Amino acid sequence: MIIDTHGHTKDVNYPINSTDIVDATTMIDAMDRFDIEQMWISPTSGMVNDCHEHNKKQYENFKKLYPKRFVNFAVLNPYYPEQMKEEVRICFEEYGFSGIKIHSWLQSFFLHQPGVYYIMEQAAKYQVPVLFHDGTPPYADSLQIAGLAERYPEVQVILGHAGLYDQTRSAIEACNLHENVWLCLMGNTIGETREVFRDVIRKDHLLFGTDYCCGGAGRIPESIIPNRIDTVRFACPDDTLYDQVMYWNAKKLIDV
Amino acid sequence: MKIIDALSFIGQGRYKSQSVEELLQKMEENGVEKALIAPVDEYVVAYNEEGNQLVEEACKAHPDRFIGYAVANPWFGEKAVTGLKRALENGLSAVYFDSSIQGFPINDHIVDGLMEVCREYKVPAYFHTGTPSFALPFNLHYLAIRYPDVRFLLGHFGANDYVSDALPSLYQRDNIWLETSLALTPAMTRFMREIPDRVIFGSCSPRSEIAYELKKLRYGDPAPEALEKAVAKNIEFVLGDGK
Repeated sequence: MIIDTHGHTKDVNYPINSTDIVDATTMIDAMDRFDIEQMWISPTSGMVNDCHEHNKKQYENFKKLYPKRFVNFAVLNPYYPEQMKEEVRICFEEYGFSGIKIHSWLQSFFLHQPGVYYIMEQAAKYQVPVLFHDGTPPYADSLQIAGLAERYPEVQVILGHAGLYDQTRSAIEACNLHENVWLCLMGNTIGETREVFRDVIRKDHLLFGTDYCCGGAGRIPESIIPNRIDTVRFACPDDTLYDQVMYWNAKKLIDV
Repeated sequence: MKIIDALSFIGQGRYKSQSVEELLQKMEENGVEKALIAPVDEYVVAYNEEGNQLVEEACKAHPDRFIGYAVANPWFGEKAVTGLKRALENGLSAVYFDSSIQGFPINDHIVDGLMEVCREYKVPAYFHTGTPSFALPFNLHYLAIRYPDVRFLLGHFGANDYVSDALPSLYQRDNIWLETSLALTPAMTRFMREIPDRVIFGSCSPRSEIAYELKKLRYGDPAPEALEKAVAKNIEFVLGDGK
């Protein structure tokens, strides 16, 4: 059984002018075929369009209908500070969302500024983890995010790609140094994933994710899922650790 | 179906290690007839001559299985040019660059001397891509403009975050081919459908695994002709002087 801690809903207008929508039943069908019990999701379209509209859609179409299959992360926009305060209240007091997703590369903001510090303070207040896209300079460098984790030790910080291709060793260092840093194995090569398994001290802070079904260069279809599972399968040294990373560690962080 | 792996590594390095025997075994297990081999990172960055000797020896020992990449770091200037010529005269068939660790943007003029060698010896040049800001698809696009008669392999489709630039970087360039390793199935599937003559299979073993990379390539159920081109015919074309 798998918990996919890094998924997305796919709605219109990401990429630009996209009309492609993936509904909950399609996603659940894909999840069932790959033994994914639960997926942690955030709306990709909300990162580049009206996040209020897309958080609400996610609540209506995913959380309300399938509360056990989807764990919901809110997308916030620090460029609109007043609306963001209200959006935080709605997402955590009305919708009952479980986390915050920040994709500072797509959303185009620097991580160390008051608007982001406000988000971290709200994460501490509502005791929810923050899942970051990482591994892409200049807006989403893994160590920029580690710096936020150091500044807010009470907030659980997930590096959503464990450094991607070129910053894996930085992500490992951050995870070993900061008790509140978690690494989501998603997007690393088999070689770097092996390094994570070898060098990360706190293996109970390793998670698994697929990115299904983010926009990217077009909708990322379900073929991404076996790619990601295979990466961890090839790299993981034993079955017990595999189960821990693919399921139990996530359960410990958010148990819905 | 004949399979040629356009990128694997040999040698013992800090982050990558693979012996000739280990690679041959993986090739055998996965039906790979031939592999283009480069030496691991240390040789790419600093010990070019030793790296070239390592690859030459492997190719001489297994001429039916290996095709060799030479390595040369342009920061060594004339020494790199001389070393590259020697390696090509000793039988190596292409040149491998990873400018993200060698320390130059792909399109920097520092590499011009080595590109002249590629042109003179009519050998293709492979460039790792996907690492900002030294090794991106459009860096290679502009180098390819300067050297229209050199054939280039754009490594890893731009990897993860720059896959969106891979296809646009081919615009008006008929001298760039896209190498698949480390890329994701959706991109492989799309490119084999849209530009089947430009996709070349590579594994990047041991950073990745041959079995895993072949599985990704096949997972999207590509047309048999497109798959055949990706796993053998396109790289044969590129190695065969583009004819």
